Amino acid sequence: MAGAASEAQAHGFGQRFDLPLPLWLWLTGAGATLVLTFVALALFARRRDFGTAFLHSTDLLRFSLLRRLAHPLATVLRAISCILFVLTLATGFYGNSDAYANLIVTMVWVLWWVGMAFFCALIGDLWEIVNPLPTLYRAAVRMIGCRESLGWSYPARWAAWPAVALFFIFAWAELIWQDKDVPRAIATALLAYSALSWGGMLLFGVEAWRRQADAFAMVFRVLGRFAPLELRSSTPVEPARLRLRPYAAGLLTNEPVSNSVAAFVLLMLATVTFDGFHETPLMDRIGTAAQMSRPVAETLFTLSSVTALDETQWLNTVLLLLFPLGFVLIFRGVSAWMLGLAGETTRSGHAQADLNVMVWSLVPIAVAYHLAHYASLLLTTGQFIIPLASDPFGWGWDLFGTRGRTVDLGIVSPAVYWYVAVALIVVGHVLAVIVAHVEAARRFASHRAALMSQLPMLALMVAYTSLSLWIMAQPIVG
Amino acid sequence: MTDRSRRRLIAWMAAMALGGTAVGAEASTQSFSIQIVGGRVKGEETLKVRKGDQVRVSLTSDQPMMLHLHGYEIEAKVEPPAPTLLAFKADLAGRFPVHVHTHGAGNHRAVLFIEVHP
Repeated sequence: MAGAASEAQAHGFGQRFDLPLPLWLWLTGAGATLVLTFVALALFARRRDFGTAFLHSTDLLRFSLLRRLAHPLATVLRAISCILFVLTLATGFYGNSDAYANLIVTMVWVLWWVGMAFFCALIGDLWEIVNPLPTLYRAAVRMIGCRESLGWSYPARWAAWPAVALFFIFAWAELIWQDKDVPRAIATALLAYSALSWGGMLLFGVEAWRRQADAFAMVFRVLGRFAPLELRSSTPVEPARLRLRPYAAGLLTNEPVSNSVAAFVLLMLATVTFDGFHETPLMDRIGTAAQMSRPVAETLFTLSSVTALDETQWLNTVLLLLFPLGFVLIFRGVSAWMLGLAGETTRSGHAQADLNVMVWSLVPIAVAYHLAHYASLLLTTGQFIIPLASDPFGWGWDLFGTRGRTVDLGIVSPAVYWYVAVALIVVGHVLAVIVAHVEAARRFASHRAALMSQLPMLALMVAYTSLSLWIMAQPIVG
Repeated sequence: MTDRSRRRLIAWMAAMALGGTAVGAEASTQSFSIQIVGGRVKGEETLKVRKGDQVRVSLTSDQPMMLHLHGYEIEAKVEPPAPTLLAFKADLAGRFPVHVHTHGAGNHRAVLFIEVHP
């Protein structure tokens, strides 16, 4: 038994068994993407206000039943989330060291990271409501009876850069860190992140920290903009919000987008793409080529001999850095091209800053790719939660009689998975095109300028969608 | 839409449907012979079969090793020079890696993949 456990661990957690998309399906998806893009463009050319129907949303708190239910429901969910948070930390520190027998690995990587992202993108930003870090912090403050924060003002210069840095570290941990499926290591990282957040809340206040520096609040907020439910718990300055809107409507915004927020969104998109990319045969070839090139191989060797990371990890780290930098450069290039083609400045005059808003229009493609990429992982590896619910510490408990339940890998047939994945990505692309057009129509003074400005954006979107489809058509070798 | 373009569309859709269903038509026995040298497979690293096929992979290696077909959770011990047979019914679709089991941490790249198409 012990032998089996250590062998299972050697394979790494979350092995995926996805079959690559067949060529004809990839071509069909890419073709549909192109055709639909041109159809959309033809429609935009005819009507300037095409897509504005998108903007309507309904305030659900108008209904007294929902108003009365929402608050207690949020309280219950918050309590559950705090209990799960503490339980997860406890299993990580005190439970079994086998990745599959300890709740924390499945909880953090599958249920929380993948599951919460799915929920936030498809339904609404639930993390806003249930995030245990502010809840526990506020409870502790109330118990001690001290002030909530020292009241330092959050440095404006920092903007959302702390969240960008923290998210990069997280992405590195998810994709490259070799201890990412070691329960104790995850628990330590989780506690470190929590301590940092609590420190930040103490210095700058809960809301300031959560709005700008907390990477996860930010990730789920970005995904939640795509969702049909707008969820916002009440803060000292704002009442709670619960509004229903069409998918992707939340991506249309009047707020200006700072460089740091634009960089954050691009970093998110880049890491999701890198996640798929680093399992492709092309990445394998890049790795081989890096070993063949003397200066590169020597640099990697030096780096790995002075650190705890091996050469492959270093190569992956470098590429994980280059991907977001590349995304930012391409986005900047496309923005400049948009302004050039439009031949005029935007209404407010701050052209470059104004075009940062366009990052939102890429989110639907990223969401669709994310859903397609992780759906099978959630449905297969996620099943581990059934036995783990009975035995979270891996100590041989059987609380609900589900211990020893095995995973059914045949739960989704690859064919169904293929069609759903391609349909998702194409639909995401169409939503992205519409969002970009509505944004442009609002920002540029003339119809012609708005229309012309869309050509580079459409080229970027077709490229991004085709890249996403291409990755799914690659066999997984990682 | 003209008659001709409609006919063409129908033909195209039929071709698509056939493309989708042709795989998985009838089950049969698929035999492969795999030679591992220095921990790497000589030749094609991905074996493609159809769901329902009876799969027989005969493995030889220049060094003793323990192979593990992930997903199906089947193990095969290979001892040179005799070939070892990895036989199973492909009743689960997907792309399944065959790993070499080594003790301790380290790089455990898959040596072989078996793709079971629906």
